[in-house]
Amino acid sequence: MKNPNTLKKKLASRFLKAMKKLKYKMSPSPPASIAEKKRRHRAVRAAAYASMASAVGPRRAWSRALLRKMKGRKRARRNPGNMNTRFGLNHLCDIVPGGEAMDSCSLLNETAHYIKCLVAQVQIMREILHSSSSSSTIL
Amino acid sequence: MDKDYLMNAGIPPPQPLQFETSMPMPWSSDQSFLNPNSSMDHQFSHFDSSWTSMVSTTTTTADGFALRQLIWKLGGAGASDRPSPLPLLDQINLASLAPPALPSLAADPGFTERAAKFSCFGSRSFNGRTSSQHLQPRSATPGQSMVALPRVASSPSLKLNGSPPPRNRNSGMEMQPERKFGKLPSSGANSNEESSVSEQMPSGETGSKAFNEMNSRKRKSASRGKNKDDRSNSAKEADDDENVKRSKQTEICENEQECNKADENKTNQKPPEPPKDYIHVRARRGQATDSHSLAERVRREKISERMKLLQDLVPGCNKVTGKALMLDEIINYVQSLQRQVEFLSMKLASVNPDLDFNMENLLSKDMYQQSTSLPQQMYPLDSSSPAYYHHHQNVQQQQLPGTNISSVDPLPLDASLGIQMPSVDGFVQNLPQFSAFTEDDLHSIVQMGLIQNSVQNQSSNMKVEL
Repeated sequence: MKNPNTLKKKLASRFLKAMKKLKYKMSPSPPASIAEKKRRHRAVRAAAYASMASAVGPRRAWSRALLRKMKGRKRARRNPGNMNTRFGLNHLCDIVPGGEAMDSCSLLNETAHYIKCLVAQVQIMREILHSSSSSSTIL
Repeated sequence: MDKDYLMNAGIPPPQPLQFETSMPMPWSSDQSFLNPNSSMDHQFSHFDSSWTSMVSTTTTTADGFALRQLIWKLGGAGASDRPSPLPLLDQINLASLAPPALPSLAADPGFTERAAKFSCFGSRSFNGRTSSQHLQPRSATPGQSMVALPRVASSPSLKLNGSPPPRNRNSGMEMQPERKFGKLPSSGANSNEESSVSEQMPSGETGSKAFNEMNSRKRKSASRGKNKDDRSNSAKEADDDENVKRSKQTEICENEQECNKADENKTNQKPPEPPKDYIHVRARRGQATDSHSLAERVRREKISERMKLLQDLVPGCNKVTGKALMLDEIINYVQSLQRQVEFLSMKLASVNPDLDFNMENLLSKDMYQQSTSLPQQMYPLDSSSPAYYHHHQNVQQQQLPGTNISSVDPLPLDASLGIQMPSVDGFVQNLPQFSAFTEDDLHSIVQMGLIQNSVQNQSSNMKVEL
């Protein structure tokens, strides 16, 4: 559906913005403590998922669920009668954000889109790293 | 509808039959029916007048055909009107059918071919598929149910032959009311059959055509009734009620036909049954048309469509067949992608303060614009993603000795393990060399680099983390 290039551009711009914000918060020197590293790591990961979700917008159920998680609201549980129609998608609904409240058909839809976005996000992050490693000196 | 069938059948009884709505039958029985009729009459009082009149109007020797027509009609009508047509029919079958009917049937070899063609009567799509398959086996057994009917006047009955039989069995081509549907393709198929067969058959044998159609239809319903168990379609379970109805007829039909012929037809008709695939939405032959199973079928088809889309997205899913395995692959893939995000975010976190994101912006945008030309550069990195994916699977299987290594393994890394900077450096050092290495080498390099770093630096810390 989505042209991968446009998707990537959107994701990249959002992610870079988020990283910039994070950068200002981080101490410029490499953090010594492990806790600090953990915190940083979690922040970057959150930035990655948040930028992904906001780039996709509220159009997708998984992005809505992610945004809800970011904002700290409770998960919206609707259609509890979906368990009958699951056909073994139980594991999938645990992995895809917002998967519990969906029926099988839309769950598979969401999974497909989620995979696309995940792939694009991973590519972006790798590209950033790659450019940083190639441009700058090896740390 | 029976009335219509009767009226338009065009079989002019030489004597005005007292065909009221009570007994709408194109009846032209012969003398062999006299005895069973007389015995039956007392059972079905309302049959009396029509039966006797029918008996009296016998003019032809087409006992088999008329008999089958009667039986078929009774079977069809009995389901709706009369409580138990079966004893009547059974008596008819046993008493009269077996001995006299069979020898009188003409073993016309061309007849069997025609019958084979008419077995495709009910569905247009069957014509090309099944006719050729039917021809040979059928010709091998000059059917006992074939009768060289000398009657000509049943040609108008051809058009409406389609309507009553599909009433009893699911024609299944569309979801419209079966009567309506039954008329449309039957007339079309009729015209096809007539045009194709006309060269073979003299027009005077149109009556035999009707007969063939009837018998072929009956045989088809017989086979379908048998095939009921063979089908794996779960929606067919809802067909049981209709199959039961049909099986009653099929019992009747089998009684009247030779067992071998019926069996052969069944086995012949099993392969020509349309392959039940999940793409069509319309109700198909032999499937229930109630709303539940239809909705289920639509849902299942949607789901299988989605699964196909996912198959394209997930690399390496082409070999895997079946929903369960596909789902496992998909889950693994999504998990591996999420782990990659974790890992990359960790690296970014460590590298972050040193990155200039404005420059990154420009560089990244350049990269995107060159994304089509980048494959040479990106390919090793992209190939590493399936490398990650498969490597993780390998790692799980390998059970490496020493917990250090498993903790050092980059892919299933948990941030809480606190992988140190040197390990990241080691990994980053290996990055530009990606293109030179295959996937296996990549694994070993990564592992080696990380192990070295962990051994050199603060391995104790990692153990503590564990």
